[in-house]
Amino acid sequence: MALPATLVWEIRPTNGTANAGGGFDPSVASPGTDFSQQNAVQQAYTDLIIDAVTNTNITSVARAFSSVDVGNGISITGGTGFTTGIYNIRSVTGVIATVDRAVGTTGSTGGTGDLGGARSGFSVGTTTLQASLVAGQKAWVKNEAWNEYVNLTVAGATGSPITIEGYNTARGDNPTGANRPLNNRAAAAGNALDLQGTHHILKHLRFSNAGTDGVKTTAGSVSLFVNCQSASNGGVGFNFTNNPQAWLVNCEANNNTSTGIACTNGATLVGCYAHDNTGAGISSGTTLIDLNSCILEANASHGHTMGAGYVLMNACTLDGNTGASADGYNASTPIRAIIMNTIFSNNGRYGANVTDGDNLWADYNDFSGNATAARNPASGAGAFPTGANDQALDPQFTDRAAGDFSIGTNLKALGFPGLFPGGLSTGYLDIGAVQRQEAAGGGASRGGRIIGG
Amino acid sequence: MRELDHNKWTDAERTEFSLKGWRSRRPGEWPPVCSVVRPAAYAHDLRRGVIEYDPAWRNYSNHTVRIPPGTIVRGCNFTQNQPDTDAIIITGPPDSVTFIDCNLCNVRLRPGLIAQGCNTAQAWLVTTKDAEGKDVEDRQWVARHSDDLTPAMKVAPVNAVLDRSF
Repeated sequence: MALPATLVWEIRPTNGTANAGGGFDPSVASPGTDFSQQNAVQQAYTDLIIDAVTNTNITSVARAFSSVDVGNGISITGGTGFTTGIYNIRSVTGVIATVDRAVGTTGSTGGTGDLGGARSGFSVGTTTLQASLVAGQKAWVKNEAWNEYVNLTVAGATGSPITIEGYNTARGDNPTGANRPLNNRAAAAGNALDLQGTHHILKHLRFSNAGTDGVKTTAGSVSLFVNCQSASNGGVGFNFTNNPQAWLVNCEANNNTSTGIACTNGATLVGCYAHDNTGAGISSGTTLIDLNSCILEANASHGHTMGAGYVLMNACTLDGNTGASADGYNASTPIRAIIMNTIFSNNGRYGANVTDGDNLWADYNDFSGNATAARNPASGAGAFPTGANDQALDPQFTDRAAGDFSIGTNLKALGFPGLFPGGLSTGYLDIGAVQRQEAAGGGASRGGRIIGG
Repeated sequence: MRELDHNKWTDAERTEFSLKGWRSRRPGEWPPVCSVVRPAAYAHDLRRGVIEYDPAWRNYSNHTVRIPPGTIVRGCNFTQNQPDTDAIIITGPPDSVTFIDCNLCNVRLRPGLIAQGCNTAQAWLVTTKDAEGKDVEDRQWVARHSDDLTPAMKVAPVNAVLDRSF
């Protein structure tokens, strides 16, 4: 056997303990008391004994096991004949605890280990949590001061992802802004998070000030990030260079020393915010990148740059990406691209700039205040298409300097689709990532959300 | 925003444009750089000249910026191309301006300057080869703060990108 997929981990970066048991399995038969949701370990053993016959059974004289321990983790840290590792107590008979797998050599005595308590990190302890993860498990991270290099190498699986979710004061409180746990690397070398396994879900987490990238994925992850932020790192914010199928919802990449979000091998981004990066807001390669309702602004290079690849850009706002060579959208020769409902405004050169735009379909976009021109080429072979329903109107952002890109009345209800095929339905979508906020009652919003938390 | 109608330019601006291919930016024109309008001291796209801080604008990348005392600057991008670039002119004591959540990459941070939650990394822009052998630009990190730069770190690597003219 091995650690169960139903095990739930608890990480409290400041108040947890490196070698704590760290997890609890509520699905075990007759679960006891969850000792993982407490700062201190429940018991620090120094007299563990492995049963003389069965090497999955352990006892202690100093603090006998009982039914309250069932489902809890125990981290074995040493002792002759003991195999270090994090184990899970599956049952207790009398004072004998049966764990999920062999603990060592039968008859061994003097084992050390900690029962219960939250872990202080993924990378700490005699046996690390990150090495102990199993597909299907979930780890909660409490919002406490946090600084560690996290390297997740264990893969999840289809239907059994590994989920890591941040919380502020209570599990599931869906924190936003500064209430999300922040892994602040304080300029330590390397990345804050390396994600090398597939099928991970990360929610409500922040990564900052890493010497290199905030988040980097490799080895083909199929990962989902929700409400995460990667800021002020020495390299890229989210670096999915080697990661097919990265999915980001409501994520923010800002103030990074390189690109905000780099996704060479395809990605889907919804409601994301890439801003104030030293490089481009987003870069992509040959594989399809799907940008929905994203804001790319105030980057020191392009808003979105891509080579010969595929893009679906819908309802985005690309504003104020400056420099004589910086465009809102910059691409060589898109192989196939659909660009619609997007605002290209106040960029340093062109709103949209391509080497060859013949494979593009673009319409229902707004071009305003781009320093050199709206489109390049503007006409002739390879031109970036001018849509019949394009606009050249001031988006009337509510407060762009303060990051509020909700539009005024100019672009209200001018988006695609208007009249649907068949002529029975008509849409009235606004153009841009953030819909118009009516003076009273809010309203008229396509899926209201908090950008970047 | 800027005035791109040449008929509304002054004679001096038209003369300047005929000589340089662009005219000097007027205060308050945003974005501060485009193909035909640039700050007077614009050298190239990685050294874009001096502009004033304005709460209406957040992207000051590769510019030198004048900021009045008493200002709280929040969430702005002051990225510079080369480490230890003297890019911020505070027209008062250094501690009279507070930077919060700003990108101060490659900015020389003078003693007393207040930076909270900012990226102060120092990194060279360099050209490297990608997996297919093509030249690509990347950032080569050297220090977390301008105070940590050694003389050797301030020397440009041979593959550094130092100029980008348009």
